[in-house]
Amino acid sequence: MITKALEKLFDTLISLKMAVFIIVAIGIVSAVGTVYESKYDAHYAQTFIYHSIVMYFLLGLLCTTLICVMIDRWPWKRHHSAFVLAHIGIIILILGSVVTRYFGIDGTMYFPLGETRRYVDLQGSAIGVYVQSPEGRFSQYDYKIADFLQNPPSEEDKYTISLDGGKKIEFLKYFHYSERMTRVAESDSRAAGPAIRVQFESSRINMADWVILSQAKPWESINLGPAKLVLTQDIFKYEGGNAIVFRPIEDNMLEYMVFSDSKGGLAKKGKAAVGDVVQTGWMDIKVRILRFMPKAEKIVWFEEKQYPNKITVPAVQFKFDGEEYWMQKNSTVKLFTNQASYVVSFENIRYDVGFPMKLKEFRIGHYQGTQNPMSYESDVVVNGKVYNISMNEPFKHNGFTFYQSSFEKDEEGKPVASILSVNKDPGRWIKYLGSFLIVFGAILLMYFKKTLAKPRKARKVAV
Amino acid sequence: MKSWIAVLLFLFSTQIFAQTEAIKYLPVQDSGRVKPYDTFAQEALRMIYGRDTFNGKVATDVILTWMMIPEYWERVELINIPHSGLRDYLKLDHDKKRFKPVEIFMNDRTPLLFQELRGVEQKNDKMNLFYQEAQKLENQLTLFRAISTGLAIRVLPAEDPNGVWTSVAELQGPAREKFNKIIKTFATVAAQVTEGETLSKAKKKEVSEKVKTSVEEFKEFADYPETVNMTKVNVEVLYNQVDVFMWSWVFYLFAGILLLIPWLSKEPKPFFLKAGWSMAFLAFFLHTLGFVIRVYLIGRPPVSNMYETVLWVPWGAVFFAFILEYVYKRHIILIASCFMAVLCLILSGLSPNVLDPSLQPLQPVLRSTFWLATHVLIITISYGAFLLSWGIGNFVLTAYLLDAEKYKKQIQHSSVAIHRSNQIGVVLLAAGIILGGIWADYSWGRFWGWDPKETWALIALLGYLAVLHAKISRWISHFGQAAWSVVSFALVVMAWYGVNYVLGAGLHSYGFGAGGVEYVSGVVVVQLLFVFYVYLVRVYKKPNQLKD
Repeated sequence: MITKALEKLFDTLISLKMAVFIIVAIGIVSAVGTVYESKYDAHYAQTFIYHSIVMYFLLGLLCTTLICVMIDRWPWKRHHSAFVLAHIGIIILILGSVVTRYFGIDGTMYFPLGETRRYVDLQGSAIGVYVQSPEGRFSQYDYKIADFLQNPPSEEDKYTISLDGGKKIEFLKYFHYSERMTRVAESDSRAAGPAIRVQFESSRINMADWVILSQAKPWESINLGPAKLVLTQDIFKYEGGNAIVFRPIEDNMLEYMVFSDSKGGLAKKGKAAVGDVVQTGWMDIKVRILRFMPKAEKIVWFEEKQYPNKITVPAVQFKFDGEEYWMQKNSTVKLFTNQASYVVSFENIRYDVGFPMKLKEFRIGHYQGTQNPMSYESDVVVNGKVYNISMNEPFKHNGFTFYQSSFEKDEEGKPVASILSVNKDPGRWIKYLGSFLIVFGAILLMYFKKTLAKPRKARKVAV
Repeated sequence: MKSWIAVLLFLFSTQIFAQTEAIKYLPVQDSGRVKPYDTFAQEALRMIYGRDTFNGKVATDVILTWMMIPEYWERVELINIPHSGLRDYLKLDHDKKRFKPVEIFMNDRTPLLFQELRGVEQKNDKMNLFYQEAQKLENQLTLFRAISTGLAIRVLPAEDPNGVWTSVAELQGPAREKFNKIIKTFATVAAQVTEGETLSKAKKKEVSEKVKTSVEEFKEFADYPETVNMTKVNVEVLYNQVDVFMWSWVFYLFAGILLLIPWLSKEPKPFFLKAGWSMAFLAFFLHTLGFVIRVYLIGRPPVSNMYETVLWVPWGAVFFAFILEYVYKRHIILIASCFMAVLCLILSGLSPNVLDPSLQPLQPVLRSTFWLATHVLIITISYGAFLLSWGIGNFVLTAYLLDAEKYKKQIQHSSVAIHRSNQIGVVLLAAGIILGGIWADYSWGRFWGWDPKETWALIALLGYLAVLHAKISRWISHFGQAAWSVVSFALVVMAWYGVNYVLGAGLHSYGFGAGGVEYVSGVVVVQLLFVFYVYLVRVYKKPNQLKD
């Protein structure tokens, strides 16, 4: 009975219909994955589609049927060679991928110009807690890999880190895609200072913004198009250009001073309340006071988005000592208990490559007469020696390979940092072997015209 | 002053203006390479106006007058805005497509549009069609401005071979004089043309000689560095003038029709066969020549954008057709390939805005001729094999629709051809994907990263593998094989076009573009409906055939 069932299972596995089914199923799952990647991003698609249980099951099933089919054709004849080679190649290729997946390293390294680094950022997130010693030095207190993308924390299912003295950090929320939001609100905190929201208006511009002054600073300024807007508690030193300075004098009244570049100094002075308009005399620009708060602070929070865009970041919310905090990826928050002070960080998983590396120089080559890049190159220093890394020309050291991936520029377009991708892949040669066998087998298939390999049963009937 | 009026009048005259030919050959620096002024002018006019000529005037003359009398051109309906949403946003006439530059420059909503665009650019990687078109409009306006001021036309080489050339606006001293001479000769020629309307042959020759001398004098003065290859510049002007790919499809069409006649008739017709073969060879020769010229001009494999692959894939189809035809002597193979080539080559010329025919320097990551040649050429040529099987498949489906009994022989012959094309395609695609993996491993550090482009290539491969396995197991018949090969080509279309133009995600971003989505999806849907229709007809007819 059992043998019969097994035989039946075997026959199903080796049938070409099964092969077609698996091929089509893998194709469909992959297609869904590309749609995910288009809507979300590569990491998301990999986590939920390409490395999902369904995909693993299909690949496992594929290997099983390939092995069964080859067993079925045993003993192999000469004309089987193409089919055997191509199929063994597929199994080896999948094996190689498994080796890469579990033993390989694939991450990025961010190098500001002239700095030395030794850690690779990997995909996935980790929580680090560092404690400050009485001398002021930080040491690692706790470091955990936190797979928040697949297992996000929630109010019911908190992710907790305990600190000395019974205090706890409780992670409540994780947003994989979120936008940083800010709001200015009245505050009674001791650090809070005044804040105003003003609007610049002319025939050509129309913009509004907040200026918030904390108690720690003498003044705060922002640039609004062609002029500077300054909020101060007492004095302001004019250093040229167009500027308008506001100083709170009463709960509802501000004093203003307009400095103009053409006059080289103070042009106008007066008092204004919320809703009032100040004619600046620079072109036809008017400044309108929209809001005024004598004591205000900036509140930051994160809003979850369904799909990513250029400004979304992963963010977590946690609770400590009754207060709630937000933290975006690769940032830190400082916490205090009665005994010590801690720094909590939410960061990429880091991996030590085992040797320090310094970025000496980064160059961009341009196509003649344009700003279109032609090449990117980094010069790095390892053990006192300089190595060059450029597009299509990586650098290998201690089993790691460093590739020029991208760079970061400042507002003027000057490069300030180089980004390398770092990789260690013990499965590489296994995959190459598999690939070679597949292609070789496929070419042989053209050579043996009559390999129309029928299952054994069909052949018996034919005889 | 008088000469400017003449230039103006010239714009209204209709005479073909061959006398200014020499100006076309003037080397200019633009978009990272040195090209003839001819190419620059054509690309600029195409970008701003959407056509290669303006009222029958060649681009080189039009652009020159742009620079001479910009005030006039600001009031000519010149800026092409094909997106109706954008026209509505700018509160422009909904039914017109081209607008005066002043209309756009002075439009209240133009600054708003670009301000909004900045915001969207900062936030999004992928922009919708509206903002892509807004970006294009911004480029059109910038280019128009740059040409009217003379800043866009860089004519005088810098000392540093990689440096920025001096533009017409910045020319000084003797260089300015020499260039003004070109402009003046042009203006006098324009005056003569407008006044005389019909010039004698001798006069025409004299005039064109004058223009030539002024251009030659400037060229001599410019003293181009060795990196500027004058032969290349001259060849490029020739390439611009002779549309090799158009001639190629014309001959493919003749070849296809000539070969179709003997295929459909019962008795052999050696004359048509021979004529068809010769035509196909001629077309293939021109097709190849076009590539050779492109490779010569830009110095890299001709597969770096959608336009080039739309030319390259049918080349592959015809190439494989010659081989298979030689081995199997089934004329359907060559017939199908000829018609596929006609289809693709016509398509390549339809919309320069979607399929950009200009020769562009490569993105940094592609600057590896060896890998580009092996990986991309092999993958795209495998699409050629699939294109062939798609073409033959459609012939077979049509045969089934007409009369399966009558065309039994043809259907059987086609089946072998489809099987072989699919096999060739599968081997090359598998090899191409793996080579792509090796390149990615070598230059990015990962063999397989589930990037949409590579994933869709894999899905297409799986599709054809399924067809091959189903055919080997006799699970599907001749009909099923043809039908599924045709359906599987939709996967190739997705990998080839869809990833770049529909999904727009992943690391192959250098090939991304926009436009034509509605047409391509329309064709795919019609194709799938056709397959389904033939299937239904067959199912419905079967009982009757059995009775017979």
